Formats: sequence, C-alpha cells, structure tokens
Amino acid sequence: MKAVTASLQRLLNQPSHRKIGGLVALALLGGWIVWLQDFSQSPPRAQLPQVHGEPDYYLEDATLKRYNAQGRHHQTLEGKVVTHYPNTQLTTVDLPRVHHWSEDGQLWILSALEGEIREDNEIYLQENVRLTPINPDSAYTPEFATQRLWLDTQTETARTPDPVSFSSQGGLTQGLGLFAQLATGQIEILEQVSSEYLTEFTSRNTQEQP
Amino acid sequence: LPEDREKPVQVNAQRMEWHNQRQQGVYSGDVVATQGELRLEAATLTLYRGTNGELTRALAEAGGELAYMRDLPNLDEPEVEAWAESIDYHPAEDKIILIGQARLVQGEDSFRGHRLTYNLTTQDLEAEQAETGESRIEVILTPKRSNGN
Repeated sequence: MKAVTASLQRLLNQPSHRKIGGLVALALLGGWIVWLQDFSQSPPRAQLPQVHGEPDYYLEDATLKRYNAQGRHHQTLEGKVVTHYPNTQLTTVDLPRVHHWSEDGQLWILSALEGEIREDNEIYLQENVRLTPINPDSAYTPEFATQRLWLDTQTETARTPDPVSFSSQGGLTQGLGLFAQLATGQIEILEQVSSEYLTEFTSRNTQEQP
Repeated sequence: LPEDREKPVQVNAQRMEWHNQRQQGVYSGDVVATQGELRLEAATLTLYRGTNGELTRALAEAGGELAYMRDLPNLDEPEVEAWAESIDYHPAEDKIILIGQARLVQGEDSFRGHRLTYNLTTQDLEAEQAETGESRIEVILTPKRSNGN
C-alpha cells in the first residue's frame, strides 16, 4: 500500500502529470453531479403553443383551488398542463377536470380534453365534454356528454348549443342544446329530445339474456 | 300487445328537464311516449325512475287538450283509446290510471268517470266518480250482434 502511495507521489510531482490529474478529478466531479440529476422527471416542454401570444408561465399536473368572494372553496380545477398567456389573460388547460360545489353543496364533475379559463371567470371546455351531477343518495349516476360547454362560475350555470346525450343506467336521451343550473340541480335539454328507457321487465330481461 | 310490456319505452318531445335532486325527468312540448303499440300523447310527461334507474312510472298531463292514450290489447281485438286530464302509467303493474274527465273507448263500448283504472293485459276496468259527486260513471256496452241479425 505504501509502495502505491509512493509511486502516486512520484507521478504527481511531475508538472504535466499534475495537470492531467486535475482534469481527471474535474471530470469525475462533473460525472458525479450529472449522476445526481434526477432523470425520472420528463424534460420541460421545449415548445409551448404560441396561439395566444407568448405564455409567461405553465404548470404541469396542476391543481387550482378557487374560492368565491365569501371565501368558500367552490371549485377545484386539475390539468395535465396549465399555460397562462398574459396578452389575452387566458389560461389553457390540457385534460381539465373540474370539481364544482354549488351553494347547497351539490357536487358536479366536469371533464374534457381541452379547456380554457377566461378573463370573466368563465371556463370553456371542448372535446369529449362530460358533465356529471353527483348524487350520493342515488344508485346510478347520470352523465351528460357534448362537444363544447361554457361554465359560468359566477352564475353557476353551464350551457351549450351543441348535440347532447344524457345517459344513465337504464336510460339514454339525446337532444340539442343544454342549460344546467348547478345551484338548483336542474338540467334542461333544449330541443329535439328523444329518449329510451328500460322498464323493470326490460331491464330484468336484459340481465337474464346470456 | 302482451309482449309490448317487455319493450323499452321511447319518448320524444321538444324539451326535457332533469331534476337531479329528485332524479326525475320532465318532458314538455308535443310529448309522445310509446311502448310497442301503447302510445301516450300529452303536453308534459314526468318519468320516475327506480333505484337502479329503471322506469317505474310515467305521468302524462294535459295542457290545453286532454292527454291521450291508445293501445292494441290483442291482434284480434279493437283498439283501446282513452282521454283524461292525467294518465298515470305504472309499467310494473301493467296499470293505467286516468284521472279527470276520464273516457275510455273500445270498439262500440265506452266508459266515462272521474277516475278509470285500466289493466293493459287483463283489460279489467275500474271506474270511480269524483268525491264531490260530479262526473258520475257512465258505461255504454253495445251487445255483440250474433250472426244473422
């Protein structure tokens, strides 16, 4: 062991070897720092969409909690990527999911592929939009589906002029246009309504069929 | 027809309101509900659903005109038609309750009263007058002509 140390000593005493040794040490240090980097995180999005001007910040896997003027937590918005554009005061959300609690505590869940939080507290959802009123007392959960939906957080209303389907266990309804009053739990399909319901017999027969 | 009871109920209307607290759907505007040959027409139709979402009751109510019902009990029998201020259909019991200016006609037979309860399968009919004594029961049965006279 003394021999090895002595020969290292002799090697390092020569000037050129000292430089090489320093470089090697630096390389080792650099490698160690790189090794410390946590590569489990995906690299940040290099290119953010510029459709609404230059974004100033974006969040990944974000949860936004919103409170009304009285300080009541009435909405939680989750998004895969939330991007804010100062020029238009617009926030775009990928895979938005909104939990909205109305004044009387009724919970509504809204989701879509894309969304926008707009200046006047409106949330705009598009593509595969789902609106679900959660009713703990009921054995089944009705779900409204459409392509675009405008949720006005101020008036607690949601609306669309687009085709709408309303499905629940044992029933399917289709129509045109929707207006939902989240505060009262009342949802209206505005035009051309067509429904089909199973009765006790039909649902029993449907279950008995192989 | 007897097998109609196992068919789903179809509803068409201009509008529909879903009341989440009551888990009820209210249809309005030229409402037509059908189940096989059974047909209901009314200004509004309120649907009640069971805990598993199945349809347990359909209440058709008149607007300006009376609510209307038509059914074909069997292929070899005349159609049944009925009118009333409200027509209350209970699928699980094959029962239809007509209330208010109720009138039911089958072929040349007709029945009037405040409240008529009709069974779609057995074709039993129960008639009641209003508690106030108004709209007494009226039954007109036309004897079937035997061959030759």
